Amino acid sequence: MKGLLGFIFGLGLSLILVSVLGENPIHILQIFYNSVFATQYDLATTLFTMTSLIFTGLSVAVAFHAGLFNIGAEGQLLMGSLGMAISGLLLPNLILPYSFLWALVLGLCLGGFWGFIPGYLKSRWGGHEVIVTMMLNFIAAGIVNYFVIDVFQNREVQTPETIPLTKEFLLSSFTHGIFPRTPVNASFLFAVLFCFLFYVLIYHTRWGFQLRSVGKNPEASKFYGVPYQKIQIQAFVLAGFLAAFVGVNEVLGFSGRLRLGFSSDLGFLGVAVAMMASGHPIGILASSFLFAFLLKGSLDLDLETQTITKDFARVIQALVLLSVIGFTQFPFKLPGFKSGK
Amino acid sequence: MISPQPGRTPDLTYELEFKNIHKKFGDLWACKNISLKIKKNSIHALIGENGAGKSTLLKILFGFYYPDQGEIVFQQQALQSMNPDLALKMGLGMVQQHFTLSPEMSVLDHLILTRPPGSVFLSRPKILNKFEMLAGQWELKVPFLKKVGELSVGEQQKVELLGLLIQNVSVFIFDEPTAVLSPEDSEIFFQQILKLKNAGKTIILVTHKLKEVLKWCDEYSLLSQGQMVQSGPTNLENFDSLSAKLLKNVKIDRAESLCSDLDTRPLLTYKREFSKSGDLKFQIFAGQIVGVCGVEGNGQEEILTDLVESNRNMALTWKKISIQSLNNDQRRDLGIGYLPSDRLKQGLILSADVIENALLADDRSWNFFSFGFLRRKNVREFLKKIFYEFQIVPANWKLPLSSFSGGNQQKFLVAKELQKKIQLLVAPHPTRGVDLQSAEKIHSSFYDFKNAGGSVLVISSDLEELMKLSNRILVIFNRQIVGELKNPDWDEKKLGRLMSGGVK
Repeated sequence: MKGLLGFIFGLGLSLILVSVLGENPIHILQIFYNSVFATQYDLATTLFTMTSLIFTGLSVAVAFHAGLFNIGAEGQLLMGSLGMAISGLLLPNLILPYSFLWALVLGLCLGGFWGFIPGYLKSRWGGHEVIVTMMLNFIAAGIVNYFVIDVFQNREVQTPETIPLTKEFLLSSFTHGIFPRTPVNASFLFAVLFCFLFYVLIYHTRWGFQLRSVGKNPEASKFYGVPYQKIQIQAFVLAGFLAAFVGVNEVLGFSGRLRLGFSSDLGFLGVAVAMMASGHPIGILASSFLFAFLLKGSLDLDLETQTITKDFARVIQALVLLSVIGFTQFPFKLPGFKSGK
Repeated sequence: MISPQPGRTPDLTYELEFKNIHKKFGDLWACKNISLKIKKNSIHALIGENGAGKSTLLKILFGFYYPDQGEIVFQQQALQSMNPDLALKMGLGMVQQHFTLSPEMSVLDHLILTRPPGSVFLSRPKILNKFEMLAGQWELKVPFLKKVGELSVGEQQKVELLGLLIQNVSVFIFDEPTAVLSPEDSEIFFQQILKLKNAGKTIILVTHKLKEVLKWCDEYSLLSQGQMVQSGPTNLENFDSLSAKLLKNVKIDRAESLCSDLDTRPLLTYKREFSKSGDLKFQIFAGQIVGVCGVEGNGQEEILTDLVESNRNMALTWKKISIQSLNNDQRRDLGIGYLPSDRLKQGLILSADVIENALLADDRSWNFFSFGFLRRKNVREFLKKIFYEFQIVPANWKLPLSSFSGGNQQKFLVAKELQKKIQLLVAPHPTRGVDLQSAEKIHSSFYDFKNAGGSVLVISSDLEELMKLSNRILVIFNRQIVGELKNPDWDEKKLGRLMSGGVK
């Protein structure tokens, strides 16, 4: 409820700002609306971004519940995508279903490993996870650059990307796209399913409970014999897995190759997605849609208006986000609601 | 018991008046029509079980909450829109039960930090001088250049007091000041309070200890369930009715604590060598409540840590098995239960609700999970049972643990632990900061547990509690057991001497 109010407030603020710049606010609203709902293709593109944001949001959220801050979803998703993109190039002769499974396993393992490192360093020596994951992001970016440009570069194109995978490795060999000829693919359904599974895992299982008790009071967890070091590592590995699923969406589900810069900070946006939802998976569904909507909408603003540049579109994004977060996180009561949620 | 107070000529004007204070949280009356007058230049005791409304009343005074109705009059002025800063400026100072000190700073720096001295630039020597004069004047000598964290609890309390004195506070409020002090330190503390009073200050004391009220306080007010029960000058006549009212209907057969026929095989043997002072060793037998008393910092912490965590450099035997290298989970499986020594830090997840707290440290046999999945029904049934048995209120499992009073939190922890299949309960400070009624409940649950064949190790600085509970009391001094007394041959003086290392 408060979130919606914040959204309207932020949007209103942005509209005032654009009208100061001489744009017609109604026109801006139209562009925003059209950018998501005008055509099936627009909606599909939004859902595609949303899928990736759900995965990174969940990745940050699982660490968040354990009292850890995963800034490294970006690196984890890069490593995961790299694994998937090169799987088919390493063993090109595999047949279904082993080909797809191999791609999945390699990607998830790399992503999970990238999560394991900060988890292990944290629980073994207390290495601060924020620093470690941030550094690992740079390392991952370096590794990915090397493999894409120097080892597996697709010679047929000018842009830095890997040689495309054959059909056997792709998600589309099992499923038909939800909307044919659009980026969105079956990963979207996985993402939504994951949100519900995540909910069950966190709030209805022993492991989830232990995870949260480690996050809320590590001292008490220690006193009562919760294996908190193990839990911290497991949380980070799971975070790595979840982030790596972005690769399923992007590489196995859509393009079939790893293109440098495809992520455009999906991992960092995941932090915002998770924080806005306070780590709750159902909230993540909503906040990831909001983010995808803003990303897509501001791109179109750049294209379709004179005054609003790409940079200014970012201002609008930030305004809306800040007001949503401000409205949801500050303790105040809405008139007419008993306990504001 | 009662000593006539020197200079008991109270100034009849009232320093502080609460007028018809109402405060409601949801459906719960935290304060219901409480009126209270506090005389100038007196020591006023605020008593009542946890959740009686004492803290709420004080929080209203300091502006943390606003009352739904009623007003507060301070020095003939009605207070409006209070906040903690303003309260301090007006001369209302409070020392919290859990001190609000910065352990990593030196005492001087802490005092400077909390009470900025007006000018932009600090002259440390000048300020030090000022504080030293103040300390001399009030006999509150503290090592100003040591780190706060290195001071004893008694000294830390002095630091808190100094911080208030420099602000010219006229009303001092103490929340359970002696809960963490040894008997000697408590005595010293009250001497200081008397000095404050004689200098014209007003003191409000929140406490659970009736003995202190009787000995040191001029007036008392008894609150219960958000309402004022009675109020008046302290004297012996109303003392009995007071304790009766506080305890209501909890009854305990004291004879139960007399020695029963003891099993001769030790349940637990503890032995650790400290290079400096020799061995620390003791044994616990089945069906016994063993008390360990001593001034804090004489080895209690070490015993506790060794009992909880693995430590290969000592010998811990549980029914002939060496368990010193087992971790705390494995020890629980063998049948040792633990209460946390700091329930807020180690025992509870304050922000989580009762159900989640019940899940922390559950016993497999309670079937809270099947195949790793939560079975809420089983948890609810379990909670229904322990909440009923231990009279824990409110019986609302959706509430976060932070909204329960200290007594109810502690009862919850004790109940949970005693539901397990354990033979020994390690109970450090089982009733610290707990109201009398809850304390009685906890004590009686210990008796029941003992009569069923279990043993309890109670580590406490509360002599009265130990004498009431224990079959044996071990006195610890300088990491050695320097004496042992058996029920019922209690000798408070001897205990005191042993605790301070007086006799061997």
